[in-house]
Amino acid sequence: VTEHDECRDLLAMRRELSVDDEERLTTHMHVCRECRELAAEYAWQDAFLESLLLPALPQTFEAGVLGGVQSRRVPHHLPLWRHGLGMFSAAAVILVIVLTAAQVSTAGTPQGAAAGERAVLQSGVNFADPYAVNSAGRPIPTPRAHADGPAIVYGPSRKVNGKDQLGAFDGAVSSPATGSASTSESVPWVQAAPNNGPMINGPFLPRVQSISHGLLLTLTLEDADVAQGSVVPVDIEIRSLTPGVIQIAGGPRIVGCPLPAPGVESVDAQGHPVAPLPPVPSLACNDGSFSQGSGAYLRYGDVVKLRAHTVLMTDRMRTAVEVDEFGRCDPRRTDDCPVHRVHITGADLSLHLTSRPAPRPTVYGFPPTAVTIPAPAGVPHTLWMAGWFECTRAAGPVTTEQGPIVPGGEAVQRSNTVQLPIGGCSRRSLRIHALFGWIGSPVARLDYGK
Amino acid sequence: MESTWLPRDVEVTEEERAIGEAESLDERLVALMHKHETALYRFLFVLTGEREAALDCTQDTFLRAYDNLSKGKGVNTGWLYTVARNLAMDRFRHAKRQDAAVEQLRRLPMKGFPSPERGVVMRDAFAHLAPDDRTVLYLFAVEGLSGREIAERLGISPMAVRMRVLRARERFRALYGGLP
Repeated sequence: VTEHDECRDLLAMRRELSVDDEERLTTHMHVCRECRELAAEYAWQDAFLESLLLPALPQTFEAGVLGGVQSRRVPHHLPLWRHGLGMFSAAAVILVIVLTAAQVSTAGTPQGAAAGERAVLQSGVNFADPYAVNSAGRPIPTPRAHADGPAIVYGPSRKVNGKDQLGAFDGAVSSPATGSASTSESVPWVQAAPNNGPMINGPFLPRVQSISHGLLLTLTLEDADVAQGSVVPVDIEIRSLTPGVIQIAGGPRIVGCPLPAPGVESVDAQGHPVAPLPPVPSLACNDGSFSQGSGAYLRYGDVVKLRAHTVLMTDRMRTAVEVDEFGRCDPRRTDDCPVHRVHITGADLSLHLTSRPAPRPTVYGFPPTAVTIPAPAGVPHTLWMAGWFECTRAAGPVTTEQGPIVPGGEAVQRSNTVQLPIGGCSRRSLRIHALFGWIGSPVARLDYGK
Repeated sequence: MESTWLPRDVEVTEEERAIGEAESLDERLVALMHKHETALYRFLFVLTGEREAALDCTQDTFLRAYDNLSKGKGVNTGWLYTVARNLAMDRFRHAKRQDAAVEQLRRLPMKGFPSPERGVVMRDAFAHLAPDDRTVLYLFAVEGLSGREIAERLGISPMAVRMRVLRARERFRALYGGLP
């Protein structure tokens, strides 16, 4: 083996070399053009590998694993006598529920275990195995409703066509978002594609552009055939046409605080935002900034593109973005730049909405710890969820805890089981307001608590 | 507190010992996931070239880790990567077509690479490298691991790691036509 061959070997893992080997290699490279070229080539390789933007895990990954762990705790092969015991227990639970329901209907208000809570026990235990789908679309086992713990399936009861329906989407339950814009202006620029009329199913996608506060906002809907109350993906493009420096600080307020990224909100006929969930009573909002690509600051001509999800509460929607304006001052060079935060909204995109039924979620635990949403035909589908909870701890000093049910306010996942983060909370001091829906389909709403 | 869940034959780091001292099995699992999930998922993505496959194998790996923990057996970095790699290899054996894997790697975005044209050529070449070559390059250049750390993850000797890195670099260079 020549010194040249040895040096070629050493180059492959150069940062691991001892001082002596590095000196030997450097000395050899002074006289060996081939080794210099090889070193340069390996530097290209390292730069290439470091430049790859590898995918990140979905935010719901850990919840999914913990859900899988929960299913492993369920004994799969029970002896016959235990099956019999299970049947007996189930019958007992059904009897209790029927008696409770009878009491409720007699008194007109919830009584006993459910007194003071809006969640009303439904008419029986759901013994159907809930299921989730994996990426290949095959069902995977999830916890059985009657595996352990109180085997009660319940939810807010609403009358739909004269029948109680668990967690059915109720279009009338909505309220305007609070703490809205400090400034808002919007100048329609061009309505590029037809949003209504005979071309609705044509090759054009619903799209609107407008200029506001020096930002060119483009909002595009992926599909023209959308239903009332659906959660749909939208493409947002923001191009800075202002000579000053700006920073995008957030988006619409889906759980009370601004989302950490630009997004879309539904608006009513008067132009007021219509939130799909009630606002969080007193959630402390984190101050953040949205960064995409290289650097969080935008200058003239810079473009941000992203895909977001929105629930179509009405037939009009618009882009909403929170922006920090720095004017001519460059915050990358000095910390003393005066900053002015503005809430900017784009022009409205009008839609023709169809009508489709919402899925019927099943809630597990008392208070709820998990929710499953039936998957529609044709898999795989992606489940979208958003919402918030409020919990007053009973033990020790009384503290109230609030937060989104998923980090960042909203999340998507492939499984149809959602874990709810309310461990250790008394069922009488818990509130949950959440939305669940398969992307492209109407969402179901869960309201639990006083 | 003395850890009770790790048998003596499994070598663990201080961090892993802290995981072992977490109170419940769920807490141990969550601590394990916090420490390894991102790197393990990316390792599997580079190995399989498929996001979905990588996600499934990452989930299955942590579920098996949970099984091991619940039986009082040990889990360390080497164990996680060995199980993850075996799961991915099983999947390879059952997969009917590999083109989808190459396609996802070929469409990976890049950031900050000085020559976009060269980057595209190198990305194509990287996608067509053998899975083991891709992973050893990833662990060395992206994760910045030492030869000993890579050896621990792949279950081979540090000397074998050195040879693998060298050969992977050579094959990579030959695929994209680099000098000399």
